[in-house]
Amino acid sequence: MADILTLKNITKTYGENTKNPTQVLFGIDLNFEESSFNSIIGQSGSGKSTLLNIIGSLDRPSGGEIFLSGKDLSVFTNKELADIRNQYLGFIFQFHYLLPEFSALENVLMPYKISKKELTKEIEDRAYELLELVDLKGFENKLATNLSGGQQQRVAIARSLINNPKIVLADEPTGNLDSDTTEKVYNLLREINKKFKTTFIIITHDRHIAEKTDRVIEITDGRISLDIKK
Amino acid sequence: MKLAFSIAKRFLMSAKRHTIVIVFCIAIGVSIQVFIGLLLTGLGNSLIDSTIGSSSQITITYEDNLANYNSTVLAVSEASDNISVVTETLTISGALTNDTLTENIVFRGFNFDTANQIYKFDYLIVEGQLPTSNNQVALGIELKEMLDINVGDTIVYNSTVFGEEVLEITGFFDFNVLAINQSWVITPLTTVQDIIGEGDQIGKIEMQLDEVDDDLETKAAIVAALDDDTLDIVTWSEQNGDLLSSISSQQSSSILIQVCVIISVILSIVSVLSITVLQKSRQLSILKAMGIQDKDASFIFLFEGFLLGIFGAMLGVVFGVGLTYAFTTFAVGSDGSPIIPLTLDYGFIALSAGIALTASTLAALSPAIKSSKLSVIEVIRNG
Amino acid sequence: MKNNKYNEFLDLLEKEDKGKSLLFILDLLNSGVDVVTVYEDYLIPSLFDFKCLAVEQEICIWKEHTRTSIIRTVLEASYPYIIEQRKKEIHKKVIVLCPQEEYHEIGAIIASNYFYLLGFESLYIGANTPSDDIVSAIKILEPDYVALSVSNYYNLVVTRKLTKKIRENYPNLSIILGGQAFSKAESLEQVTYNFYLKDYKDMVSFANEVRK
Ligand SMILES: Nc1ncnc2c1ncn2[C@@H]1O[C@H](COP(=O)(O)OP(=O)(O)OP(=O)(O)O)[C@@H](O)[C@H]1O
Ligand SMILES: [Mg+2]
Repeated sequence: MADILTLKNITKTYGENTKNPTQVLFGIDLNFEESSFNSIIGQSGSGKSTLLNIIGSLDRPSGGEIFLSGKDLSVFTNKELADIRNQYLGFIFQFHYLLPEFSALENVLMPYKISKKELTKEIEDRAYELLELVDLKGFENKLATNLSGGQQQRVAIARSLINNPKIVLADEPTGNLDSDTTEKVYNLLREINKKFKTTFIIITHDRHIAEKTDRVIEITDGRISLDIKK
Repeated sequence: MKLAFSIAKRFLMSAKRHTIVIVFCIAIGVSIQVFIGLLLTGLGNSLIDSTIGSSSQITITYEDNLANYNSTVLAVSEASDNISVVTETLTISGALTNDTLTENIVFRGFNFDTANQIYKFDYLIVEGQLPTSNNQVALGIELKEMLDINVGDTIVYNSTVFGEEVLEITGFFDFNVLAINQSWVITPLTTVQDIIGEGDQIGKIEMQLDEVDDDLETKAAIVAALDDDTLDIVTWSEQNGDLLSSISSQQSSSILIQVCVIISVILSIVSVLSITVLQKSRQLSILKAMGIQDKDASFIFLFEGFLLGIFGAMLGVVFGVGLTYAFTTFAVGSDGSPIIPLTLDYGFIALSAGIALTASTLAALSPAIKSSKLSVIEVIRNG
Repeated sequence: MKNNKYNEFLDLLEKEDKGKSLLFILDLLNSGVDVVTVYEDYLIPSLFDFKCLAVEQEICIWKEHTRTSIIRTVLEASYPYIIEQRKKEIHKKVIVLCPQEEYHEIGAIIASNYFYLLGFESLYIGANTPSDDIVSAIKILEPDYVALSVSNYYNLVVTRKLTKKIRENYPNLSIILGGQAFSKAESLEQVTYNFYLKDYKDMVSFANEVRK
């Protein structure tokens, strides 16, 4: 399989122009194959989220290059990066981040609305279907703030999938879920991976999730300490 | 745009209490602006009005009295649209005497039908009533004590030129001006004409204007209409130079006050909206992470400012007008007319609302720019 | 002939018949078949010989556990034959264990038996052994080799840390790795070790090396 994502010598230093800069990532080299199912593990503070945010173009690296489907991300304008985030990437954040003013369904549809395409019956059906997949049938019109942490996390998962992204970047997507739901969510992600050839990069502390992914990348103090495939 | 608008609408709707508070803030600003604006113009107008409102604003004086005046009075009243009332008067001097006391007076003959509109005698009568027929008179209230007389008494007018005449007192008036209260005696025009005894003649044509500021143009129109540039014709502004300069300085200070009010309204709108951006930075980061364009993100805040501005301005106008109405209704003088008469200047109200709307939209500009610069990652990272 | 016999054994296992399975192997050993053959041709293949459909996944786990339990009993019962057939003593001590979270211990038990058979002094410490315990066991037992058996590839995460720690604390102690988790060369490369012994054959040549 071809590589969908390549990182070359990525470094990240926070507070570069301040008195105490802290380097968080040290020369990360990684490639991800198309439609692969990967996990990133590592101790708290090791730089996992930093790396994922850089991959997702939410943050710029201090050094190194990122290639998405062969294209160098650094040449894109902010506007183009926003489009890439909208069309090619799906995010599931560590702190799930829904828009509290909107209902579960509206949150799921938001990436689609941002793409400024006409709202169709199909896409609405798809949103309902995704919510059903994450076991939230009947909660569609509940305001995001009125959902429990785990429910919000599942809405975020459904939201990340609405635009059929090429890559889903998930920062502890099951962090708030009980083991049954975790299993269910994992199976859902797996299914989508198989069905739509979506590439997944999942940060997780949950060994039960990590051991089921096809590849485990361990980060220790900003360096890749282990990179193993099944 | 549509997306930005619907998000803006939702942001405002879901923080209803907060939105209402902001709308009220803007509304209070606008209403103060409207009210103070109307009050200051009203104050200026009323200053003019109280000085010249109950007096002749343009006066034509005939040194040798004018006979056959009807056609002239008609010509004057048709000379300009700005003339609201024209009345003819005849005035002589002399003294009033009863058994023991004598007072010098100004004896003024009026055509009450029209003169009332200028002098508002019917309001000013504090005792008795206006004279209605020949040889009936009403006196300034000060004269009542000075001559020790009452309504219904008779009194004698005498003058070295015109001789004596017995007059019946029908009432007393209070002009709120001591000199007038001490000297004026008013009577129907015919009383004075008969005392002079030279038939129908008048001494002055007095008038009031709709737009007092246009007095000089009106004077020119009268001169043109009567085709007589030897006329002795004087306008209120020619007579009251001091008053005019004080009014104009008062107007410039009122503009200054209004500018201050507008600035404080704008500043409060800006600060309130900046806080809104701060509060929504989390949502903004989420939207950006999902790929919303910077431009659309900025529009969210412009729309928020615009919507807040619209509702704030509308409510503000309602408040402002209500306040003005309440003021004119409840703050009234003894004669039932408002202390400061206010007129709803719709142009001015629309301007105030427009300024508030523009200010809130512009106020949203800096938050909007700030929002497009907001770093997604700061928020995403810090939870 | 041997194939037939293996299928016979597999049949017994399929029926979860512990007693008959055990007697079957003891019969083989008594009839003179050597321990290594029994292990290599019967026990080890039977651990992977599952016929299960995806839908029966849960049944499979249950079956796997039952089978593991039967095989473990068989392995215990075969120990007298290991002693009997043991090669000349090497006077080197090996401790065999599975790292933390690794519960698949059959491989480790077999390896431990093999080491003993090949003349090593061998001690099986157990499955799911916490890293700190391993270090203290090394301190007390003072082995020449520590052998780690890892099946689940995810356990390479802890294995990498463990081997690094062992190397730091005991630089002269040789680390032996074995198990399915290392089947990919790239995976093996990332772990600190001295010897990777894939199967019995590797162990024999290793023993020969040590003997020299
Ligand atoms: N803005 C920042 N300025 C300075 N240091 C930062 C900043 N953001 C993160 N760091 C540091 O970078 C390191 C990596 O942070 P990161 O969030 O990537 O960790 P993580 O692996 O995702 O941890 P966790 O599992 O707890 O989410 C941490 O030591 C953190 O303190
Ligand atoms: Mg993190």
